[in-house]
Amino acid sequence: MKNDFKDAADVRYLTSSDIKFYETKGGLLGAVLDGEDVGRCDVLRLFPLHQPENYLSVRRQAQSHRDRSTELGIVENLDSFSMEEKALIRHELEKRYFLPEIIKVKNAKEEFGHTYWEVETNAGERSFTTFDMSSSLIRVSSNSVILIDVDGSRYLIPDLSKADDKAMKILDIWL
Amino acid sequence: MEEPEAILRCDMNTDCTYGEIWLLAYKDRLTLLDAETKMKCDYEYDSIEEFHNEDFINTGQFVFTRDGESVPFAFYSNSVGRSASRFTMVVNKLREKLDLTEDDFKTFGDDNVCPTCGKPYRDPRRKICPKCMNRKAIILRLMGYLPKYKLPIALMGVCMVMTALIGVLRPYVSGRTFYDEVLTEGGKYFGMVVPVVLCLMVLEVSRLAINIIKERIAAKVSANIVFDIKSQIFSAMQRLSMSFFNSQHTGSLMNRVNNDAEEICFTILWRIPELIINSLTLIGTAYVMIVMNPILSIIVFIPVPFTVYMMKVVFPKFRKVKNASWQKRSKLNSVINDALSGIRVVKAFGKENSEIDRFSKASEELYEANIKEGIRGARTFPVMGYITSLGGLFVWAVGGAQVMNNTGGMTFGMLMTFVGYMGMVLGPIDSIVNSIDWLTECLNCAHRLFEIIDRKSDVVQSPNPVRMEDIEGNISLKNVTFSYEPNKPVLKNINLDIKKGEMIGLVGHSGAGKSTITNIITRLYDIQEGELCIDGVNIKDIEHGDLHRRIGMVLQETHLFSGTIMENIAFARPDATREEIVCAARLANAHDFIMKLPDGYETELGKRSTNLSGGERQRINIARAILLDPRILILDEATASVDTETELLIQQAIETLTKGRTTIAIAHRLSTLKNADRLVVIERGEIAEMGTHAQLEAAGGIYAGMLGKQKEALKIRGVEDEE
Repeated sequence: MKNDFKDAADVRYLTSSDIKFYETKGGLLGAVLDGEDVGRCDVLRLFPLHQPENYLSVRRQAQSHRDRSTELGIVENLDSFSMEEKALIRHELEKRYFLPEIIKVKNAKEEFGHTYWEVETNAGERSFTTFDMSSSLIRVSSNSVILIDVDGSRYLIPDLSKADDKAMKILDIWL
Repeated sequence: MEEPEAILRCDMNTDCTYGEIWLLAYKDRLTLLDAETKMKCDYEYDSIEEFHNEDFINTGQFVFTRDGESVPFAFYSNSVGRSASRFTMVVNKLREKLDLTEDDFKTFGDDNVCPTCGKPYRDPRRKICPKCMNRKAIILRLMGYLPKYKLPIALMGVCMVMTALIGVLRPYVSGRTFYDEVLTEGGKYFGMVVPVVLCLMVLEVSRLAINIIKERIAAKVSANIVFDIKSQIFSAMQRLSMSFFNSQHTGSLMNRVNNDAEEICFTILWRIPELIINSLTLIGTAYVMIVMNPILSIIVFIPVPFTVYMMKVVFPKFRKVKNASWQKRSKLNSVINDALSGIRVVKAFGKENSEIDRFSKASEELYEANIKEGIRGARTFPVMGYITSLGGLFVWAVGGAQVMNNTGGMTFGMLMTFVGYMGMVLGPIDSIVNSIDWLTECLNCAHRLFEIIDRKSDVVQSPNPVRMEDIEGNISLKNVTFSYEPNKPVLKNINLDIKKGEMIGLVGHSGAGKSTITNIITRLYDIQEGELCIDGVNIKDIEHGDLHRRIGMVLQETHLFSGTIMENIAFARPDATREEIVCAARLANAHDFIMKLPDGYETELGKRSTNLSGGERQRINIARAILLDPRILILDEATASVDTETELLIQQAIETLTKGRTTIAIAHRLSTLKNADRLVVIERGEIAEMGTHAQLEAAGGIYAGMLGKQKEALKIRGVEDEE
């Protein structure tokens, strides 16, 4: 009785016996589901902050870009997939959930309620502006946060205890 | 050399690192240039079947289709995002060999950074760089509020100069004059204790009097200026089109009107005068001190650098601690607010204890922050006081020695004067140092306000509007295309002719564009392409008032203003008579419930005792529309949020209302539209089907499908549609 609603929700969990991933000629992710080629697929994280490689929603790409995509199923983990497939999925996820990690804060200046950051990330150098800290911080864990800039771009501070003084000076009161 | 039509600088490489990739759109091809590897690729439009951009979380990519295969070929971060959709549009126009217009380049290129200093704008929608904004122009414009109050402000000026003068004079009289001339033998006024004390008293009293006069004038003028600014802003905001309000948070708008106006006024009339008095006093005291004893003057100014250091370096730290405890306080408040406003949910799920835990946790955090603040404060302020008094000791020591040795003509009275002045030096310096902060804040406020005042409405009345005393209600849409955001058309190529008196039902899935059609017919937004005519006149040429006088709207969200029921019904026609209002209410089936209220039509809404139900509020809205006697009536989900019985009452009311009027009704519950002359099915911004209920049901298309689903749904619930 207890799991009635689970049955009703009818979620399809996918493993390598149901779905095979391949690289399309254009270099994108495609899939064969139950032996049928469904073409280009998107892979989305259900819990992007804490479960980067578990619970992935596999969706058939919308036929035209006005169309809505449809979910083919959920991949609980990548264990059953081949190395090539894992690499493909990881590449796709990395692209979609690109999140540069801030390695060094070269400069962080607060002015008129805005903070101008100059940082070094694992993807290269970058400068950005944040506004209204209370709504531009996502707390990932007690020790790491994501900063969101005025354009909506995100930057990860992976370890607050190792973060530069310049950054902490600004972040301190918001944490 | 061939000039590209459009250029876009993408900021990412394909391997998810930051880079510099240039995309050049020519008339016949797209070229990709990699700034690092110097790689160059050409893509002829003829070889591309489709071109679009896909947005991810932090990034996006351009994708084209060649030989049926999607190929990603350039990445960008969100900073480029806005321009990317523009660029896609331009490329697609070029591919279709369409002409480019100036509009295509509106939000294009590097327009998210300040052109002067190259820093990104704090708010891309508000292209203002706080660093580079023209401060002088803003100050001048702010001063523009003053001339209206020339006389009182001139009076204030006189008062300020006098205050400063007395401020400088007083320590001189109580020190130099009193000790050296009155108490010392051979002094000019030796022994005249009472007259000199009286003189001091007069000085004090007159300073007090002048201050009272100044504050009275300032209070009056400031109230007037705040009033001026607020009314100017409010009327400017009302004039703006819907798109402005959609892009702005309502809360921040209210903040603007209230806080910014007050902040500006406070600055102009209290802080700036304060600054002037302080500066004058400082100059005056410094002058008198230097004339009396230059060496001692230098000693008086020794603590100044320390004070400035404290204010610039130590105080901000303290402010941060204070800020932190303020944060915790508001967090605690939101916990309390959450728990209390959601008390039904909390109790229903039996979660009282976890709410108590949440409260304790937030409360503890605040407690800790408060302690931290207290400790910091206990450390900062006494040190500050100590430094000041330390400076005083120096003056006593050096000045005392000079008096004893009688060097530099130093007297006991002069020493006393110096001691008096010392207290007067640090205060003004404090205020001058801080002035930079509040001045910037004020300019920022002013800028925000001027921005609204100067903002042009997207929906403007044509210079020679067509007056239409009466509207018949013929509506025609020809090739209408509309989008709220560039490149994301919500309506595409809509062609629709509605005859006067006809009732049209708009049907479609959520987000299909049904409400958007009503938004453009009421001209809350202007269409970008095509033509929208009412009685054969382009809607853009019709006089605003004439148009809105004859368009009535009943929406799903039933907004009632504070005021009486009568005032609410008469909202669109304040000149309506009592009889007319009652008639409208009767036709709307609202009369009977209004009569049950103790104050009848004069019931104040928004008071605790008047809890109108959704259906009742909706009937007041319908009465409002009936009273307007509109030629064109828009019903947007008018009965969506009421129970069946009320729906019946509202349906009756609507039937009365729709008679002889052009009606456009939107409803998800398809049975609501059974009286419609024609149904129009909207699918993804386009007209998919059109016809009567019977025709569409027989056709077996989208409408028939929706109808089937609704019948199915009713069957599952055990309710059969009465049809």
